[in-house]
Amino acid sequence: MKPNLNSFVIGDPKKCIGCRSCEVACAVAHRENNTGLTVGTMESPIIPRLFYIKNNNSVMEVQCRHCEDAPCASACPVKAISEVNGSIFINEKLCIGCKTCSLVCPVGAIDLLPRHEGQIINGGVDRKSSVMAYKCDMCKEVGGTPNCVKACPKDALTIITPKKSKKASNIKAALELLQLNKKL
Amino acid sequence: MKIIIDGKAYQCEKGEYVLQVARRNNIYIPTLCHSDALSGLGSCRLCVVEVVDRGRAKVVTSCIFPITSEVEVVTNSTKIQKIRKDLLVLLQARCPENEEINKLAKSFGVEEERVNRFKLDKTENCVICGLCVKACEEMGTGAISTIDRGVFKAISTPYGDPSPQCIGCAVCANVCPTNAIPVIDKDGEREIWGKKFKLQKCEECGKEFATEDHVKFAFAKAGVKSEKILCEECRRKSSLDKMKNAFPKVEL
Repeated sequence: MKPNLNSFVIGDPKKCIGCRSCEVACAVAHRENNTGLTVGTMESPIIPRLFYIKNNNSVMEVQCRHCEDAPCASACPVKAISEVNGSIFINEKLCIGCKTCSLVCPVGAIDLLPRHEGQIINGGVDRKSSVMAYKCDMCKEVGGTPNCVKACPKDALTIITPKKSKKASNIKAALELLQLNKKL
Repeated sequence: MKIIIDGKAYQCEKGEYVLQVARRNNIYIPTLCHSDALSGLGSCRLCVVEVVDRGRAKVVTSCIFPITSEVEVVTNSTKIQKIRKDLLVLLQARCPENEEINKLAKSFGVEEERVNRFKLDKTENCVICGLCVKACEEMGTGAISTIDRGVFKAISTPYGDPSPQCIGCAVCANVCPTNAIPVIDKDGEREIWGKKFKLQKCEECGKEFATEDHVKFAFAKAGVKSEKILCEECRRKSSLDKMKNAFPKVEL
């Protein structure tokens, strides 16, 4: 049995206001070659890896849950998705944009967006862009601490470490039971 | 080991391809049939460079030329420029009305429609690079392939009939560099490579988001089942609803 379940970021619909700061932070964290210190000077398009959804007056950002035995990893026909360092990672160089992973994700965390190719690949010619699968990678390639969590003005995004969070719930439940027993 | 590209030295490993090293160091080499995921085709020849090895210069395709010794590479000599221009002239003669080829040709300074002596189909879009065939193969379906030889070479399903293997995923159209594969989504059906597919409707909102065959293929490959087949948006809405009601009193 694995000692630790994969950590992931989750949004709280009761706190989220739909300002999309997290999306911008995500795109900034994943910009290529450190181009653009400010959003206004970014040459690459803003492609966030978490997705905004609205339903019945609530809003939230949906991102990858880094499932154990991820369906996306099993579905990928070219084996571009694998578990690396406790998070599910899509290898950009192997993805062919077939959309199979996006179809099987139970939470809708993968979306297919135009693959950004810089100047060295296009040479300044406006070439046809193909799509590629994008999803949250826990900012593993770019420092380790998810940028979206830091950017949220309402603290609606938190990093869940499943075993710790379970323990916290257990402790709270036990304390509540203690209070209840005292009253009886 | 190190190699010299356009007069400057760069570090590389033995066996790496010249194109890889060039891109890593921000050197532009144009490509048409190259894709990191489906590499090794070497069919378009647009990425040719000159490699100077032991005093002799030879023209090679940088996408599949492995570095085995400390050679010198020239990416933009007059000879290479002329070769690229000639390639584009021929490509444009084959596909005169193709936007992507025209854009590329313009960037290399090719004048319009210089070659008039070939009697070809002016609406041709395919340059037979082979990316679609490779992509379909990688998918595991292998529905299309190259057929015939010489001037009759083309990409098709076996005998031109609708392929039983095709699932309508359209990854071929995605990787095609010249938009040569038509995918027509109309009236709840997708038509591609002469085969008609029923488009899967989302069980919540009714949006058509993929072919039924592709959805079946995806779930079979993943080895999971889903009670309801939903589009991405509805799946996200369901995630939102679950998070709203999940832990009403526990602080997340």
